Amino acid sequence: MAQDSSKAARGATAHQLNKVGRGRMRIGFIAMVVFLLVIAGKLVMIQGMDVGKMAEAAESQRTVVQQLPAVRGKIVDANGKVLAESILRYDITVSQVNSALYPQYKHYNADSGTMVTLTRDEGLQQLATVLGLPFAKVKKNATGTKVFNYIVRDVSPAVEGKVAALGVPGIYSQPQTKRVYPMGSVGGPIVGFVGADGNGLAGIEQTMNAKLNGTNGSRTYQAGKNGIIIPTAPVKTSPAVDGQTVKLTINEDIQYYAQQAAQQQKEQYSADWASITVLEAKTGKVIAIADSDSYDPNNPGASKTADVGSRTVSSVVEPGSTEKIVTTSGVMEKGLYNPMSHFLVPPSLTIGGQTFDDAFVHGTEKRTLAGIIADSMNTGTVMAGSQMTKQERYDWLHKFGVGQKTGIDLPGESPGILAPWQQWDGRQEYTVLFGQGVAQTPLQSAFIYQTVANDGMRLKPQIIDSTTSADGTVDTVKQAPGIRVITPKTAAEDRLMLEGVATMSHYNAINIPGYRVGGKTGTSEAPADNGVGFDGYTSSFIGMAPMEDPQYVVAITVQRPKGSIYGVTQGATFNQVMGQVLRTYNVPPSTTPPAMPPKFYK
Amino acid sequence: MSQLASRVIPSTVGSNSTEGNNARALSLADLHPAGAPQPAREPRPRTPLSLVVSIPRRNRTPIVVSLFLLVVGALAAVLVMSVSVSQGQYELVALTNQQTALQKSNQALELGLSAQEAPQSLVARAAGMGMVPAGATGQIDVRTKKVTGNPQPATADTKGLVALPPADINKPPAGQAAADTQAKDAAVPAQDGRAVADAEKTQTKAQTKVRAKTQAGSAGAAPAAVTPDLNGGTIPAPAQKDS
Repeated sequence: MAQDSSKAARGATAHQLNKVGRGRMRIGFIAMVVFLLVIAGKLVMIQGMDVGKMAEAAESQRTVVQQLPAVRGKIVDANGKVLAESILRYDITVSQVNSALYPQYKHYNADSGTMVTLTRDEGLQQLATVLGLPFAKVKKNATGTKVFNYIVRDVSPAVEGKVAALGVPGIYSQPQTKRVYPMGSVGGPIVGFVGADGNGLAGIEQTMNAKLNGTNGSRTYQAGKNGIIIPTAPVKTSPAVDGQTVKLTINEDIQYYAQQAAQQQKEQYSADWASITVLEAKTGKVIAIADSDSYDPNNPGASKTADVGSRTVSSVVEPGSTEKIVTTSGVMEKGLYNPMSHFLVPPSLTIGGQTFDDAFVHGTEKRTLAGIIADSMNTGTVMAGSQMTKQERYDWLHKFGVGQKTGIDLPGESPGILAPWQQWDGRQEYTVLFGQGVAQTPLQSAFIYQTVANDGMRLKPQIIDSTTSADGTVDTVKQAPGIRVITPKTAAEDRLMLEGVATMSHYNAINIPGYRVGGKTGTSEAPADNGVGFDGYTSSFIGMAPMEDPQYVVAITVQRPKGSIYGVTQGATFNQVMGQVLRTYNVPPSTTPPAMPPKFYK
Repeated sequence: MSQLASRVIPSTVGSNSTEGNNARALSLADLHPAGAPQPAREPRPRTPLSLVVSIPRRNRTPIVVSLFLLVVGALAAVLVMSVSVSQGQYELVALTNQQTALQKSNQALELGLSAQEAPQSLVARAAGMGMVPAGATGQIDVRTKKVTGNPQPATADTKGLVALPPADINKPPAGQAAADTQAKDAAVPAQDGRAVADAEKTQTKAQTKVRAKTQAGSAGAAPAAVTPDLNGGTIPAPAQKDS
């Protein structure tokens, strides 16, 4: 009984309590449900339905896609000296609108550790001082209604650092990649230059553009407003691949010397232009291609349009007597003659209705073939060369590369002009024997002598030594197989006659003490620019050394020297340039006495 | 309580008689070992029993505290990690900025070196020092100890070849441009072969000036580039334009 009563009493209390509690709980519960519903609704709206594209906006605001620009490869010379490289420069820009917003601004002075208040003019004055520009000019550029304007373009990173430290409102900087050519005009026409979009427009920059250009990369990350990267957000990076370094076969010291010499010749004779080519005979590697008035690729616009490009590969001239070596090669290869063959050379030769004279007056002479070459006699050369058919004359010129591009990795190469033999006129069929009525580039002429120096193998000119990719892999350019033009025996006989030019001729200006040298002068009438008749001369000399085993070929061409053509000589220049080459490459002096083939027979 | 119960249970009550009572019944034998005489006592009225409602409470404080500490600990760990990661990020940004600045100054120095190495600059400086091109050279054969060729001493009036202009890389600020022009002006007569002592002196002076300026420029450039503008803060702003 007692138990029942106590149970009842307790039950009543609990019931009452529950009633009160349940009421309060219900109110609380409803309040919480409403609250939760509101939150959940908002959550669904924001997260699920994304009203107002909040998430997207937030993400796009946070997401930064940074381009990682690939650096264009360098161009270096054979010794690794930089001919072209890309560096970072800055453009200092202004938002004129933003600049006008701050007639006064506060700037934290890092030196004194204090905040200073500056007026806009004071700020611009500081900027002008740092940039080294007149204040008026800076203010003029900074004042107006434009959102973007340049204060000055192309300043160094050091200057940009100082500008940034000034903190002038509305003044910004933009990084720019700039192509610089530390050697300037030395090798300028070979190296070339790039356009505003960073692609090569001339020279190696143009022909090797694909290798020099790298692949841009990118980095996508999320950053807060202060620019600090959010560490937990995903970062996607595709690295940039820098361009390849192109190593040339050019030796910058020889190039400089040859360019000086070319400029000297041009100025001394008031010529139109001068060109000097230096080759390695056994490899076809081009050591220097020097043009007078070479442009500075840092500022190609400052040069005359005609000077942009290398005349050595793009200008054609009639080679003149240097071409006689092609004729002698032909007749000797045909087995008709050798350097000691006898020719009874008349004072003036009339053949096929055409009369040919020599540059010097002589009577009828008993000449050897070597003697004909030594004194560069047109008469004797025609006597010998006319023993070949017209087609043979054409074929020999063609075999030596006339009328075809050499295939050098430089833009704008000219193939030269070699008319088919069927189209030759009555005089041309003879003049081609001594280098008139045919036109070729100074580079083609040089490679005729490379063929003779290299025992009859004509090589393709090589100007790219190797390319090095960003990961350090070196890709060395292989020498293309040569073309057999003449037999080594004929080549040796040619060289004997070329040495005779140096040792036996009345033209005794070729002399490099200690070395046996050989070569051939050339003088031809230069066709007038308007195509009617002739205007001036082309004076040239192509030689090689040391003659016992020729290593280097130097070809000099001077177009339209002024004054008496008989006073024009390239001999001294050849001695200087070839001497420099032999010393630079430590070529041992000749130990054998120079060959002196007799000019006359008894 | 059981002792009390045993006391009020009459001896005649069987061990299983638990009527109206769910208290445990004990046998007499359990309470009084055999042989012990049962004292005759007056049975006392039974105290009504009641159920103990209070549930025995155990102290739960340790669990709550430990859970709380665990949460706090976890939060603290997350905080520390987050701070350290952020700190690392700040350091990374600072170091990247420093690297960029160093790369820039390195680039400037390398460019300066290339310009100094350029043949034009070497020739100009050599001419400034009064050097002339070599005359005819000879060769010495170390085996035979013979001199071949025709070596001639260089003379002061030996003319060099025409000088080529130096590279036009920078359009430098006005001050330096003036110094450059000065040097160039002085260099022209010297290289033309009209090298009078005066001209050489001027050129050397001008070049020393240029060199001093260049050095000052590059020395000034490096720290300027390395110390970023903090705008009064301690953390450098990141450079995003270049990495």
